Amino acid sequence: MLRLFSSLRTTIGLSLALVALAIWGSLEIQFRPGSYATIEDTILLPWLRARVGEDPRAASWVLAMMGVSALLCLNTAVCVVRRLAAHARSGRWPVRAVAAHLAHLGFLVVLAAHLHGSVSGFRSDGHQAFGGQSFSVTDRPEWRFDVGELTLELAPQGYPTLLRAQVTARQGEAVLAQGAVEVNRPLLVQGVAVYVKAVQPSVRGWGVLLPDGRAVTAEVGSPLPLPGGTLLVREWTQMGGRAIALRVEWRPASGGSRQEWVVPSPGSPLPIGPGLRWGEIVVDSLAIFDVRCDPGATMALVGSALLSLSLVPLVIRRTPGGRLAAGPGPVEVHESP
Amino acid sequence: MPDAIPAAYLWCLRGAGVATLGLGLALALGARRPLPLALAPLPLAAALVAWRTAQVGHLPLAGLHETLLTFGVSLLLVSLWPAARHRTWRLQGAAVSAAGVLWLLSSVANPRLTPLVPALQTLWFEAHVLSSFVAYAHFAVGALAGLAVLAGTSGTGVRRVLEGANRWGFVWFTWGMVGGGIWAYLAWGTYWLWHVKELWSAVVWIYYAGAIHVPHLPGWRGRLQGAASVVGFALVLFTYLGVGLLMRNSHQWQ
Ligand code: HEM
Repeated sequence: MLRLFSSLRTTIGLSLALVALAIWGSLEIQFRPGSYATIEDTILLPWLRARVGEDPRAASWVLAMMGVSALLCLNTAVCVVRRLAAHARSGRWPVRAVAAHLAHLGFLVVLAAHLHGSVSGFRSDGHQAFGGQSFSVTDRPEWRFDVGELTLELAPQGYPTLLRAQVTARQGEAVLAQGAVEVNRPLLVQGVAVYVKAVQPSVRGWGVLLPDGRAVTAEVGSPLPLPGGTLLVREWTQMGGRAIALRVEWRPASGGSRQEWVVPSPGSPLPIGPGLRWGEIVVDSLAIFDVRCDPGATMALVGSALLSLSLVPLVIRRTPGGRLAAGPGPVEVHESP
Repeated sequence: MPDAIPAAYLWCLRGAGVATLGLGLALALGARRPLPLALAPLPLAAALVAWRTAQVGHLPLAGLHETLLTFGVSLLLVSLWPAARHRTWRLQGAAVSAAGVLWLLSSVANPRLTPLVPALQTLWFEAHVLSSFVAYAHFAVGALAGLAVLAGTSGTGVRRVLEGANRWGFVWFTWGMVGGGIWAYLAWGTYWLWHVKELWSAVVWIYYAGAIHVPHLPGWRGRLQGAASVVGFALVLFTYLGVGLLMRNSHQWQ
């Protein structure tokens, strides 16, 4: 067994098995996308748990990849330990060999970090807020995220060039962290990262002009008491051009309710009560946030740094003359111990 | 950003592609003074990169047109050193010809100006794409050397180039993957996505991690290594072109 796991032939066999599984996985995702529609919504463990019962085929190759990776890690660990022991016995520590084993360690650290992040941590996506509003996440119920000024800049061609949201994370009144969240610049709060996914114009509120000329307003989703009943705007949609349609629900005081889509323009009569006219439709920037916690991320970064840096001595090596030279060249031949 | 691409730019790209292809063929056929021929395409490469950068306001790393251009430039640069060191100029000729072909392909790919949407406005994007294409160029050199080994026309120089190119390619590809992971964490909140493109990048990384161990198994050197390099580059090409053209593109920024 030990022989098997200290063999480089095993390494190559396991690598090829992982390659085959990843190719199979890519075909699965390509041709059965429905089975993987929610794979990015949570961390891996809850997704796998749900799939194992419901759709074992979707879980199978992910589980197989985990199994083969575990064997490859064992293979790597056995190799590193045996070779380091051999170096210790001989008292010789060639730079290249040490660097190769640091690269092996880096690989092990990255996989351990990924496992850690896949079983603990959380993803809570799609929180919507206008400037001045707050949101919270169930995984940190004692925290609150206050959203300040929102900025959306567009290129003349119409695509966004800047999305920015001022966010303050609070526990009670204590400020945990605050700053401007932009694409590529999340706000980090004790290992939890807040991302801005979109800033877009959205209908925030609407108004009605009463028969006596007074204006009353409400936000989308909140009911507005009017003479003769209650009016509620449930949702809205953008029509062709800039026109906005509202799905309104009218609940007369006498009972019952009626829903319909309307395209309001300021001053036009409401279809429900005499003398009521539409006021202004307030359009404001709405931000959408993802909140994610990956407790393995720092460890993955450390492992990647170890892997990346230890590769340098492998390509910048000393030539027999002792001169430092960079560039492809022959490698020393070592059988695995 | 200008609204249209000047036709002169595309014609210069085509001209440079044809000239580079010709220089490469001359080298591959065994030119007497190879170094000047191998260096000649470099000013063309510098001019094309500078011209495109001036057009779009960033290094040519976004979209098929720009990456084919950059792939060709990387191939010219990456193949030069091992050729000079191991005197493998015919092999270098094949690499230079391939660079010419890449520029010709670039000139027929849609040269539309790719908007730098917010996710692309980071040095991690540049680091990720640039490292990946330097890696791809090394893998291409490895595959050309592998073909020479398989054809039985190569000496020790070519075998050394083969091993070195795959090892360098693996190192650059690792940096590219790490850069991509950091960027994805900052932009999307995870360093790993279960998308087709990411899975294929993992395929390439794991494959070459295995391949660079082959020289440590004495009985496995030679033709097997040559074949492994060629298969590896086929995986690279599918990751670069096949995934984007044939499969649902996961690398969508907008
Ligand atoms: C996917 C996981 C692995 C990665 C990323 C990896 C990476 C590397 C790298 C970059 C080198 C240097 C290559 C060179 O300069 O030619 C190397 C060398 C080596 N690897 Fe691995 N390796 C992995 C797994 C393994 C395993 C499982 C074993 C043991 C069976 C192993 C045994 C060796 C040996 C013996 C060397 C040569 C070290 C020396 O020069 O003394 N590797 N590895």
